[in-house]
Amino acid sequence: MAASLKQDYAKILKAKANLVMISPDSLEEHRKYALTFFREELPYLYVSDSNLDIARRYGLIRKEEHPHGGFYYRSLWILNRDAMITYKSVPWEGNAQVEEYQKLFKLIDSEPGEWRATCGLRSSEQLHAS
Amino acid sequence: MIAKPKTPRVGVKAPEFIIETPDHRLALHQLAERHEKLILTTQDSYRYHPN
Repeated sequence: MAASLKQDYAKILKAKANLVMISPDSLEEHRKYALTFFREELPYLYVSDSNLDIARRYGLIRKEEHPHGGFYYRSLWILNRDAMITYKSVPWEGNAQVEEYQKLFKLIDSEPGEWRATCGLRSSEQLHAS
Repeated sequence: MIAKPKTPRVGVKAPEFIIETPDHRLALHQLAERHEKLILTTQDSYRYHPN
């Protein structure tokens, strides 16, 4: 997901939007991840939710642990200029389903996003076939 | 059956939090008013989900 959003961040800005990534990792962990995998910092804004305060207020804590570990839902929210929620997807499958990923770009009136094969994204057809 | 998480509804104000940009420390609503649309995305720790 990070790889695709990194690649498509310019399209998001071009559509007069911006992107904030939120995760329970600290800022230092986030930077270390970016430098390890991408050899550079990720361009979009980042908020560390290490105390899970945002997760609680947005209802993003899983009751049961994810099969791969962790308790934090992947999600997508789109806000307007008044910070009103105009769209939400919880859990968001944009990391695994190309259609879900592309929907983000339609919602912000952007040209389509691109995804990298190394990102782990698969089309829903591939998902259903597997 | 797994119950869907209870999350803020579409049409309500997004719960506030602080965002540090390279230049500013902004409340969510202050950042939102600078853009036509503001995308928030969350993911679990890279330790569990590196993609």
